Amino acid sequence: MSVEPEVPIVQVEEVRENPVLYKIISSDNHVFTISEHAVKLSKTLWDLITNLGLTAENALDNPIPVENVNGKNMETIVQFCERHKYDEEEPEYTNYIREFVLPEWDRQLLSIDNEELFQLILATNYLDIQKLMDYCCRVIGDMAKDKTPEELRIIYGIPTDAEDDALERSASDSPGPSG
Amino acid sequence: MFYLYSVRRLWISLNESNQQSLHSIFIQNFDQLLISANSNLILDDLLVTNSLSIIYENSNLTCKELNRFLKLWMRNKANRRLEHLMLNSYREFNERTIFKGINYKKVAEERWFDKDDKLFSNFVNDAVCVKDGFDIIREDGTRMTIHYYYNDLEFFVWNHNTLFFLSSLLPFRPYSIPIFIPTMNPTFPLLNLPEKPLQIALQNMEPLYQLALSTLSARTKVLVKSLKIQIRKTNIHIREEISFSIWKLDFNQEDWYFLTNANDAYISNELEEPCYLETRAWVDDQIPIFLWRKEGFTVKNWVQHFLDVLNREEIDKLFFQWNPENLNLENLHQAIGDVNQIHIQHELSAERCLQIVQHFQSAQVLSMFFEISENFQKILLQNFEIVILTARQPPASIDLDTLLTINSCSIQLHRLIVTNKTLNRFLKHWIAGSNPNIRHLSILLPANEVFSETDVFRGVVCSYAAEDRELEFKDYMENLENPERTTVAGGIDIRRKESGTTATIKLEDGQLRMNVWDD
Repeated sequence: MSVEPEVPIVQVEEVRENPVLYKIISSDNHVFTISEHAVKLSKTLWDLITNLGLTAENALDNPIPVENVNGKNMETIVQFCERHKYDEEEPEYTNYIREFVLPEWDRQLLSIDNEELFQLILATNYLDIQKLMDYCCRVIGDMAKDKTPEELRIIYGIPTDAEDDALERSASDSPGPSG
Repeated sequence: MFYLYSVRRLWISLNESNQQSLHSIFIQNFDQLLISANSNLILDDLLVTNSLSIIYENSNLTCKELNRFLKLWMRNKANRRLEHLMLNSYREFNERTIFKGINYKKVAEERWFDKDDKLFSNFVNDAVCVKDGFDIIREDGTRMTIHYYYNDLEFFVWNHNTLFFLSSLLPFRPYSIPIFIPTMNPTFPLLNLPEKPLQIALQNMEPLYQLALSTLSARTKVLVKSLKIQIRKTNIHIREEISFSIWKLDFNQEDWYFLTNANDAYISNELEEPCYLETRAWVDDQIPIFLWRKEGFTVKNWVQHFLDVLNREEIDKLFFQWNPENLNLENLHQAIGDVNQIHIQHELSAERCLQIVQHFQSAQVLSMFFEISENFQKILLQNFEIVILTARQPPASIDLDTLLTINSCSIQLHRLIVTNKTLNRFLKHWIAGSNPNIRHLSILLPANEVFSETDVFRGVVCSYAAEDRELEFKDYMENLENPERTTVAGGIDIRRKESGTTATIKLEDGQLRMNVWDD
């Protein structure tokens, strides 16, 4: 597989000792370079790399297209993965609130607009990056702090029962797929 | 009699007046009423006053009277027109008394109250900045801020015309504390997340906010319920208000308290009326306090909601910590459902205790003060699994007949007088077959009282176990389900005549512990 990049390659931070590098192309054709240790944080990408049989020799010649993730989100994801590539494996939390603290660097990285955060979570979910998912979800959970129920309704856009019912009715009234 | 129909503003100076005449003035709909001089105004005067703005100078109203006024105002039963009340030179301000039994919130934020020109024509467009205060909410959602500053006590009723936030020009939100400032994109579409991130996001909220979320819709309720929040206990406390507390099984053993605002429930039996919920919980080493409201939610609805979301079938403990003479127990039972344990921690009459016990018949554990009476005997006849009796002051003696009446699994006597002779006879009766259900008896004598081992075991067939013998028994101190284990070293063994069942007794000064061996 060989795709010519249409935009300049986004360089990642320097990595240790002769890293194996891979190229990823976002849905809007931005090209990212990511180290092997970093890309392993994404289960989806690593499975893909393994299945495609990419090696140190041919990796840079075979960029991986990721059609569900745009360049903006991919940039954040690459930054995150490079930052955390040597971290210990993420434990399975039984109590998120008590068992992990969101590091300041990551809090800064995730200080983005709600719509961007939502899209980033969808991308993270698709790429199956557990640590980033946990961190994003902590940002969402923190939005609830010091809020009353009615404020939570606004923050999280929770419909009332009546609104849910109306939505359900309109969905059931609308014609189904033809054919 | 005064008739002042065309007068909008009345400034009146009073000395000694006929109270009835005053009432005929106060009841008229002035825009502004200023009452000066050292008049002995009482609560009734304030209650009949129907003006938009009232200024009392040198008021003699007590904090208790103001407390009553606020309670009636919150229930829409006092001056619904009121927009502003000021008590000048009020030196008696006592937060605790004024807000006793009222759900209020201390707010240390700058709020601006626009004094309408019709009320303060001398100060057109004047606005008052209130830097702190106490907020209360009327049952229709109207908020009042009470502010005390240099001996002036002011009451501001919020409405769309008279209140605004100067600093942010936020949309007016009359029903909630203005602590949330919407950003450009305030909404995060939580429920649109795929299932996995949604679950993780919910688990990344403090439990208090998970519960808050559960109150918003049927959908969020199901979601929060699916989190299977682990809690240790659910308790109801009957004080001047009804409070609902949850002990969460967690590293921090955090507690959450939910207080209803059914303040006058016992007087008017309004348990079935909608109420606010004041929530207090340990979050990040702080105790944030919120007022939650849900359209039409009564005490019963709140309790059932929490039980349902927390996957609990009933309340664990019901505490009576106040004298609820006027509380309708039938209504209470309907509101909170069955309970597992009853703890009567207020010195109620035996008759009242009997009524309580009869209304909560599914309870397995009873803890109360001991007294000698016919009703008390009737209470003990209800088959509780665990009975905990505590002495009033001065401590009374429990007699043999009463001891033989209690056929519970665990009997715990705290600071009651149990004579050596009574205990001796009780042991002999047990050996002969009395109290067949008992597995555990513990006695703690009043201070400075001790048992005499010789007298307690006089004529009792018993054997002394080796001091290094260790036996493990179920500990029935708290509950029967999943009892913890306790180890007893040594002791004195006695044995039932017919069944051969053995019990081990440990006697130390003023304490006795008897454990029956499992068959």
